[in-house]
Amino acid sequence: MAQKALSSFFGRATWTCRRCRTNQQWIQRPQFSTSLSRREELEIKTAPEIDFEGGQRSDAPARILPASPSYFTGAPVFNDDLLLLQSLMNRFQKVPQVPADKAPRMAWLRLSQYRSASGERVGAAKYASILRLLTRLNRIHPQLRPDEVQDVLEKFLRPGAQEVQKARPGTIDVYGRSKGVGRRKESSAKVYLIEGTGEILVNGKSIVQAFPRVHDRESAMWPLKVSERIDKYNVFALVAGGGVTGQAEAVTLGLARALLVHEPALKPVLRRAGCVTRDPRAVERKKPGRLKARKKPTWVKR
Amino acid sequence: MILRQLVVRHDHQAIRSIPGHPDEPSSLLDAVGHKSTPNTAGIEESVGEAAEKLNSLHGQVLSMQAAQHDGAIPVDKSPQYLGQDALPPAPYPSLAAMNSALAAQEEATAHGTEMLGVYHPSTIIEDPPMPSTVTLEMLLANQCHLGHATQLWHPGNSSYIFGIRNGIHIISLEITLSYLRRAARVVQEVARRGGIILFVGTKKNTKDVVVTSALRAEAYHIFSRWIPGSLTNGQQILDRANIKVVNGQDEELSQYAEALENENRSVLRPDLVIVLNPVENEVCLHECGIYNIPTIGIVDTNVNPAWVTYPIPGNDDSPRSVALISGVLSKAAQEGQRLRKEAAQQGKLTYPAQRAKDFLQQLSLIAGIKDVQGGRQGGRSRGEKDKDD
Repeated sequence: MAQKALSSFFGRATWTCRRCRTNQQWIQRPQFSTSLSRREELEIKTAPEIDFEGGQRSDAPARILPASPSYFTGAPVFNDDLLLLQSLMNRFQKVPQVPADKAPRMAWLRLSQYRSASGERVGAAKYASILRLLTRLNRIHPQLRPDEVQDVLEKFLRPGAQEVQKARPGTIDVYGRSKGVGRRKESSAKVYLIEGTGEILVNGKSIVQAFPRVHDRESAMWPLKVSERIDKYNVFALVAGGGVTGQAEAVTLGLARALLVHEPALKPVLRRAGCVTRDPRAVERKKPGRLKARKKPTWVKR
Repeated sequence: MILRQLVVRHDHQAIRSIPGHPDEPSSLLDAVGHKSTPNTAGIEESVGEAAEKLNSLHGQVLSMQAAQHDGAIPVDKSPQYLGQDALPPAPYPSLAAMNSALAAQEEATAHGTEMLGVYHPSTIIEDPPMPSTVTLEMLLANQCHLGHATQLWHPGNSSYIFGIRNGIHIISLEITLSYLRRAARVVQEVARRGGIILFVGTKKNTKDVVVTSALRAEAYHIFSRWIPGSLTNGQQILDRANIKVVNGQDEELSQYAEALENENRSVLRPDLVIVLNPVENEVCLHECGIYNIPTIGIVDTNVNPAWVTYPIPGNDDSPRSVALISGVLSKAAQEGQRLRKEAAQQGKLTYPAQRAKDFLQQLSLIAGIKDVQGGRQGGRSRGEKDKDD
């Protein structure tokens, strides 16, 4: 109370320089007195304990340092992972490999999963370099694979049961039907294959009605023709979209997939016949500055 | 292209059957898949006959196989298709067996011979010379004297150039050596005083050099790209990366890990930057200049030597040259780290620990302010008195 009265009396009546104003201790002291008139709490900053050991205590902070040597790259976790995989590659590149299709089937972390795991906005191309290294390390023969390589590969596995990551084989239902889906351009075909005598129905019509052109009919039956099983199976296909030839090619792919469910061992035969690959060719988009996908307007000199 | 079996297909469109037409196919390759023309008829007939013969033979073989296997046409039984998941057998039973077999093989081939003076390209990276043992011969052997074409030179380098040969400037190796030793001394002293050293080398062929040099020097590295703004905009670019508090013996102090959480993290800057290709890292050097960070750089004849604080005139394009210079600097840093640790063992810090303490105090203050802003009745800062007393 007395303090307040004193400060208001002196604070407003007299002028104080900035330094005195900011230094709180001074305001409380009367300006004309050089000694403390009353008791008050002075702020005492005590000295630290005496260091008798003559050196640093083991828990005294000495330096602040980056945790990783790649700190200044902006993406230290990604950089360290890349360096680790590259060093493993360098050390174990002479160990015998297995062919790519025989290597254990591993589902690696997706880009979004890696980004959230590392906390960094890693670019897709940069993550692709990590995936390349992982697939190459995965090709080391499992019997000869060192433990540290296996541990590192497991760190990059997609979480979830291993069985989930295997490709699900197609099934034959109670009626003996297998199903294959094929697509070509804008056409999509669902082909049901069942052991039979060689009848083919496309959208409920006979194959001659569905595909008037012989070329298209032959394309559609190609998987059965090359494996010489035309008279062994009945085909029921439902096709939609696109044009006649696209639908025929879609039936080719769908038929091949359905046939592989019945007889998986026919895969090399069908692959050599060209029935297994999905033809990725599609209509190319129109681009700005051109009249069509490739056609450009007449070139004018000026 | 999806390849089809070359079986003769019927009902081709007869588009090019006009004899004498420019589009008429004149070779069998052109005629594949089209109706035969007078030119190709003869060849196609013979090919057709051959194909028919093959087909009939194939059919005969199949029917024979079918007879053997009770009507079912067998599939290719080559070993690779024996089972979907069947692995080819490993050439050795285990990795240890493989290593011992290869070691025995190597020993057998080397038996009775003594290889002397073999050159291993990785030696310059794995075991570089010390600053005190680098010689002019080493610099010459590693192509450090080769500058760029005379038309591309920077006149600021004129005092470093020995002469011209074959249209390129030759850098004086005596000058290179003295500047290299000076830079090594700087690096050693910065390391001895616990400074953060950064090796920057963004050429593809110097990645291993940069990483190995940085690890040897207990320093930091950039081998792909310096992100512009790492210093000027560090809060945005570098704040996600972790930092740690260490004691005099370089042991991490885990009690401060919480204080260094996400929001309170502050950005660190290097105390010395070594740039192995300054031509491509102009932005990095500019930022270092803004923040008063001294730089060391390999200055080729086309580089402005004023870009770096301690230039080392030399070839920045040859990987061997870069490996030698970077290796020497990393060896110097290694020596500096050793001296620092030696002093720390005796309880003496070669740098002021107050910096770290101030940094941590600042963090706790920031944390305090954040608490107040969050709505809590937080503590007052020191010296503040309540005016309503």
